[in-house]
Amino acid sequence: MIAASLNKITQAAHQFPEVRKNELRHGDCAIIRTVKSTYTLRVLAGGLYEASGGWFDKKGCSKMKIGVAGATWGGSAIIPAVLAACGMRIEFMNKLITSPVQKIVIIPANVLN
Amino acid sequence: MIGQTISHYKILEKLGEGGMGVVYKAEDTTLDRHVAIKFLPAHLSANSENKSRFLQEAKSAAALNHPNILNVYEIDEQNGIMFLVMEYLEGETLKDHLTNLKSGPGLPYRQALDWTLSIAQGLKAAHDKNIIHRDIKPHNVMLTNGTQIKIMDFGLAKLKSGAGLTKTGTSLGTLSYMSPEQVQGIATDHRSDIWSLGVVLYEMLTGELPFKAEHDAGLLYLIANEDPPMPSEMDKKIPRQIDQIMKKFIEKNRDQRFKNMDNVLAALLEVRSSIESAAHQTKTKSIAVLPFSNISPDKESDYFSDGLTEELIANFAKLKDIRVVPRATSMHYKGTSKDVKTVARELGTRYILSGSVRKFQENLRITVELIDVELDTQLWAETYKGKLDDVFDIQEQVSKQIVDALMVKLSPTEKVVLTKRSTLNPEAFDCNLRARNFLYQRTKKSMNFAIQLFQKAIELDPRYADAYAGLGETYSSLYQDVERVEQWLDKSIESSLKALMYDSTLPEAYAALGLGYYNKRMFEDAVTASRKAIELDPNNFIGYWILGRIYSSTDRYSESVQLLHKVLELNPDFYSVYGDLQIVYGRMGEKEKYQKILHEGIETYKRYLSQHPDDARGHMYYATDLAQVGRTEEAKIQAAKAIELSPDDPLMHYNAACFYAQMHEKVSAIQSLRDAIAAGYGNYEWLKRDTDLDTLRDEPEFKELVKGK
Repeated sequence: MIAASLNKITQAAHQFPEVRKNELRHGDCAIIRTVKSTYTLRVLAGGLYEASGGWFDKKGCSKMKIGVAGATWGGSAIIPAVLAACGMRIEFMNKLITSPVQKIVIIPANVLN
Repeated sequence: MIGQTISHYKILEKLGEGGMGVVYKAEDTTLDRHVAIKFLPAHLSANSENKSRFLQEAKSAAALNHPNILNVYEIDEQNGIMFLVMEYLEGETLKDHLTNLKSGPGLPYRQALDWTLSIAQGLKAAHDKNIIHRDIKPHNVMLTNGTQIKIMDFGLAKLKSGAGLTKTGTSLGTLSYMSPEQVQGIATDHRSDIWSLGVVLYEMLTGELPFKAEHDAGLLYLIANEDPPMPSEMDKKIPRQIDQIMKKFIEKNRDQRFKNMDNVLAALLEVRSSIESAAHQTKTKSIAVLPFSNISPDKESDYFSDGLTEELIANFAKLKDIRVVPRATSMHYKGTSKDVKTVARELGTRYILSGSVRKFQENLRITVELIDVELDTQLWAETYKGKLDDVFDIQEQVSKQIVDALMVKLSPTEKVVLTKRSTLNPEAFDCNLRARNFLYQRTKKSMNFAIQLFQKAIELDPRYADAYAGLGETYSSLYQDVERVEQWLDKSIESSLKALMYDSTLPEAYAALGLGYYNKRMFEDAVTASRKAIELDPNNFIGYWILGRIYSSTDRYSESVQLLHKVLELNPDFYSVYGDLQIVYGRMGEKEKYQKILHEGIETYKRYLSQHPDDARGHMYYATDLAQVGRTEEAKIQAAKAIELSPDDPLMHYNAACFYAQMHEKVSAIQSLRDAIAAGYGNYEWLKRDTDLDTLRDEPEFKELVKGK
């Protein structure tokens, strides 16, 4: 039942101020709200993510397989180990830099499958 | 906004404006310094999400608190407007400095290495927090006061791009300094900063960029595929050792590059010291002046024979082509029964100078012998007879004869130095030698004797620079080791400056001045004075020690360790360095090295105290180290011995209180604190903050002791 699944997802989802790359496992999903948009990043193998939402939707390339360079303050400095952190921006490997992150929700893979 | 006062900051002028805020220069009216203030625009401050974002960013940047990184002092809010207070930097960028160089296309290699070391220190602090700069270039390095390096543009510095915009395709970093992985769009890590730092070093050395092309595409190709000429090929004056580290900096395959900033720092320090020692060793003759034996009927004349030895060592240390074994090391061979070959091998020298002194009333007889151990030959020997008044002539003759025998060519300045007489008054000279002998004993009583004798020497010769310098050192040592009384420091600085007024080439005077400034926490002045002391006398361990301590307290740990080990090399008896090294290794998290130095310290105390059983401070430090390795009973005996030797010394009782507090012996600790206060200890500010006393804080007796203070 859809309602039951959504309920399960909501209960299992957790909000974090910061998420490091090594905290997520294959299949986990990060839903990230930025000032402008919302992004969904699903963890794939080999340091890649399946990225949807935000800029990817606008360009019609949602579900793109892409790496995340790390979290930045908008300048050149970067923290590569961090996937996303509130107040910072996400930098993707195609040089796309999002607006600042406001909220991060993680949904574990076992809940989604 | 200009002219207004926000909190305790008076706004002076606008410095710049970006999407996330306006930056002003302001005056901190409390601390009387200039700062840079960044205000979040009012319309953004009204939004709580923007506020939290600003705060988050500010905290991240503030976490990077390092002397080589632009500092964030404070984050505050006034009337709903948030602002960030940063260090205000005055000076020029490294780029401007290099562009305006008049002395040549690049910097002298020593300066280039020193500045690279400072940048590397700042980057290490960032990398330790997993932050990578990605845009290291001379434009982002600020030179303040002409010497201090500050890395800019970490985090907050680039908030110009607007709060809500998503950017794409931006080329981060400046092309010429980018690593191959950056230009190829591969994920970057801390090794990209290592590459960029290598490019900056290259530019500092040669005045040229390693990769140059007319178009971006050509530049990208060169960075990814071509090796540039090495610095020594660009300029023959650049030592080849630097090429080796340059290759490790700009290795295209990042797995072959320096692995981290610790490796970079170690390599830079090593190359700097290898260049210096290679340059030194090619020309220098190494000599050890063994303590002259005292064959006077009066055994108390030891101070005279030791003093003469020291004077000769000090003279030779000023000659650039002679490497003389430091006094503290030579003194270990006082009365040795070892043959000269063994001594020379242990000290790593080719020449040994030994002698004897017979002083009886006004009569003096000095016998000297110079041996070339490698050729197993006596190069020269002489016996001098005369009156006490002739001591200066004898000293001068001995120095000249040795220089001739070693066939050392002196510069005109060195000729003057060698014949220069610090005083013409033999009685003042005698007082100075006696005073130094007392100073080296480092007890409260001996230091008071030293002060009286130095003063007597000055009374006899009011322009006696050596005596002023000795007085300066004694006052600072008194402050450091016995009583934390501010007036000792003022007197120390005054005496040292007087010494320099009468002889501006006296290394001991600069070292004493450095000590005074260091204890006054005037670090910049202390660094300048210490460097000058080392420049004039490369064996001046006090200079190295001050620098080591300052670098330790400003988080420049790798350099601090190197300097502190240098102190031990020059003076193995200067035991407080073991405690300094423990602190540095502790802060670096180097547990194995910490344990190693702790055990080495214990062995040193054991040896040293068998030769200097009256050194109360040594017994107390020994006690602390023994307690750390669990030898508590021995530790207590040493602590009790220290108090027995120095029952009126407030600092000794205070140290005992710290010792017992750390052993959780609260009753003894409180009693020692009471004894310290009764003996005159009055630094309650320190007492209230001292972490060594943390175990006592909840004790009612402790609260009573500090009540109202």
